[in-house]
Amino acid sequence: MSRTFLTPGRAAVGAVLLLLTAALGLPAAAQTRPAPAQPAPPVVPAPPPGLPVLPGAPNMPGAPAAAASQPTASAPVSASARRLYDRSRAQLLQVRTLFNGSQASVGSGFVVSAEGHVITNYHVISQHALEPERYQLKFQTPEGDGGDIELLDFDARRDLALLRIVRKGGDAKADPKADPKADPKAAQKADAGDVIARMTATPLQFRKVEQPLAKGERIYSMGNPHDVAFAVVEGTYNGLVERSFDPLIYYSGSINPGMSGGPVLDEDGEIVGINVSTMIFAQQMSFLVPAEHAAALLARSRNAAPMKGAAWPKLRQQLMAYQDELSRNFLAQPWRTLTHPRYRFPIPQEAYMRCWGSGSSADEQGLQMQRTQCRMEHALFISESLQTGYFGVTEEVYDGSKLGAVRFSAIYSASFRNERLGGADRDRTAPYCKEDFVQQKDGPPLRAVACLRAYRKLDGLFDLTVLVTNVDAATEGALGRFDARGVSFANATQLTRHYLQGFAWTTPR
Amino acid sequence: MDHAAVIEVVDRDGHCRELHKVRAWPLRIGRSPDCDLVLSDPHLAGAHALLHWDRDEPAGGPVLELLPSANGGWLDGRRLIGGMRADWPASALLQIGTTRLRLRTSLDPLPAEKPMNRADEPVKRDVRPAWALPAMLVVWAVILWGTNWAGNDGSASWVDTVSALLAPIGVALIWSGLWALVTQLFRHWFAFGAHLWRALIATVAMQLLELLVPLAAYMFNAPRLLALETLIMSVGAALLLWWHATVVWPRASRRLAVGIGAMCIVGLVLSVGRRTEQQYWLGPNYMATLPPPSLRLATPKPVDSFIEGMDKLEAPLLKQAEKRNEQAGSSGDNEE
Repeated sequence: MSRTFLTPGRAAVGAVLLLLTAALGLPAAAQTRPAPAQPAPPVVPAPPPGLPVLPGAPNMPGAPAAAASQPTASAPVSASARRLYDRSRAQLLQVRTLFNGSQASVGSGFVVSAEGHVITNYHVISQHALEPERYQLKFQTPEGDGGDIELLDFDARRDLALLRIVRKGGDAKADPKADPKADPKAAQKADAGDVIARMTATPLQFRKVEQPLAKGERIYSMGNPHDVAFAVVEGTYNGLVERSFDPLIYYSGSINPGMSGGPVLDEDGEIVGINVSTMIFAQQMSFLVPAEHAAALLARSRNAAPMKGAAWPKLRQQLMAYQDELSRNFLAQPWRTLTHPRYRFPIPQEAYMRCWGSGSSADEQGLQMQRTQCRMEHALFISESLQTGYFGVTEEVYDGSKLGAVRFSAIYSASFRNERLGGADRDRTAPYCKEDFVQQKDGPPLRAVACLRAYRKLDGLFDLTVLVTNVDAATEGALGRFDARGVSFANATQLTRHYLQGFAWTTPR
Repeated sequence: MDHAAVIEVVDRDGHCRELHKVRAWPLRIGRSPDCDLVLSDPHLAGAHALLHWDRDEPAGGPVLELLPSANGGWLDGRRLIGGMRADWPASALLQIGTTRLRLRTSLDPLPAEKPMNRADEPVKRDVRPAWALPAMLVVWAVILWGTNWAGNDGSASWVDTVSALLAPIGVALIWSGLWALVTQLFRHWFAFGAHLWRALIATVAMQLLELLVPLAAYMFNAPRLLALETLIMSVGAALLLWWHATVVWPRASRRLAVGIGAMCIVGLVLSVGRRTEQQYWLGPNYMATLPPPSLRLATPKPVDSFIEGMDKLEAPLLKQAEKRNEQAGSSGDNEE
């Protein structure tokens, strides 16, 4: 398995660009466009070391793994996909975010009520949510009809958004000038009222929570990948992702940028999930938001008024609630301990964190090092530049007995200095740190550094990084790092205390 | 011979190049060997000018008469041609051909003797004992070797070690050589030893301070001492520059101090100005030096008091958060 991780943000951009270049055959220069297809699969991928990744290979038809799920594989399966697509195509739509009349990002969505409510991902409409005066929302049907759509509510934690098709009396005709893709004849023929009536005639239904799917059941993902054309992709339900704080369905099927927000239906045409992300550098590993969260969002805000102004206050409120729950849950967990003859290090439970171990080889001449790195692999998407809502713990153990005290001190200091804290940027301030020597009654003396960065637009949320090292041994080093992204100040101090209290002597002295 | 006078041949800088005593009046000036003052200037006539002492005037004084010539002359910029006569006061510079002449007579007041400038005294070549420079070089080499040794885990080959040692020494030698060339240009003195000495003293002092300041910060738990590191670098570099420059332009040491000091202050202000969003104006975010434990003198605090101390960060952070910043971001995670 892999050991190094890409951060969600970079992974997302990388994936989008990689796939886009391959899919549309664009020259490399096209990469300078703002990520046009839907952004950011927030699940952290893990490139296997040493395995060359072909540009455009992941999830592309023609790759060996993808070939297995081609519709030609078996006749009955193909028939269900066709039946389901025919049945639900009237409820499918593409959600387009326009900037100056050109699409800035595209995703998918689907109609879930007779009043014209539409579900999609929050990350599909995030640009509109954060800068409504600059980005407009439009929808487009598989037939090429289009119109305005408005944002009612979103759930940033589950990456869902609730939209509603705008009914403008009888003259909300799709404008072929504003939308060059729309077939002009179809637009002229189809009266907007007819289009909306057709879309809302048989809204898609959510599958009941009492009827859980079994592992291996066929499910069908729909959406418009890369703005190419609406697609139906067959795949398998594989249960929930393990070690995830929030439930996420693991779907074996190819989801591509642009399909975000599209529905995933069972054989009966009921919604089981919503396309949200993929693991990059992996084959057919995709993730869905369970349908119950979309149902809850619809129930909660069915009658909400369209949102006015930037969504920061609502995001802040949702993130505050989320970080409270996450922090409370994390603080209630006891630490596991790493085996070391001298110290006890705090290592988190693997309930919703994944830990990886690595180290220098045993016959290393100089400094010996072992590392245990744990982190939550699911981050919350806020904007193109900001993902938050995850914790991480890294413990590094150094043995410098072959080096001697002076050399160990120089090299270990360099390692302690090397920690990244981030600088002032658009979203967050520069780090402000508190540092001191710290000791508990039953623990070793430590040097502790707690650094915080405040969020500029999410008032009262902070990124926390705590660095800890022992200061009682001449040739042994224990370097710990705890990260919490997007927590309140009170929780940041609580988490710091919790982390510092996790350090102790192995045998009390 | 009643009036003592000398004619100075002046170079382009206004300095006297050679001097001719007027032994008899009138004095004949020209290219011909028959003249009293012979000038080897091809733009002169054989007999170009005649210098008289005019007795008619009450005080008397030198009068210049130009003899016929193609080029004539200029007295203080005023054109003279053959046959013209003009008074020649001491303040006026005469040019005939390309040669410039100045006249001094016993009538002109003699300025008082100027006191000597210290910089004009002969250079003392043996200000430090002969062993000082090599000894300093050895001290520096030992420091370089020590830092290099401590910073690697023993896997480096001897080639790396030797290059890490020789590279800075080479740079110091080239640096001193360039300064010596500049000194040669201005003072006709290839002051290699003087410049090398200054470079070594400054480098060794800065390296020792950079070693000791973090140690002191750790021992007494005073991380703010690390702000000195930035100051040591820039102030040290400015001092070294000034010290080198005083060898080249010894008369201008005060002006050099003002100029280099101002540059240093401007540099510091600019680097502080770039850090207004940081927690500290100078120095790193946190102290990373971790010397052996026996050097720690500060006593550790309980966890609770550390956590309480964090509260002081909230207000300044919220104030910073109100500022706008258009930098593209980074999450601050290690594995980016």
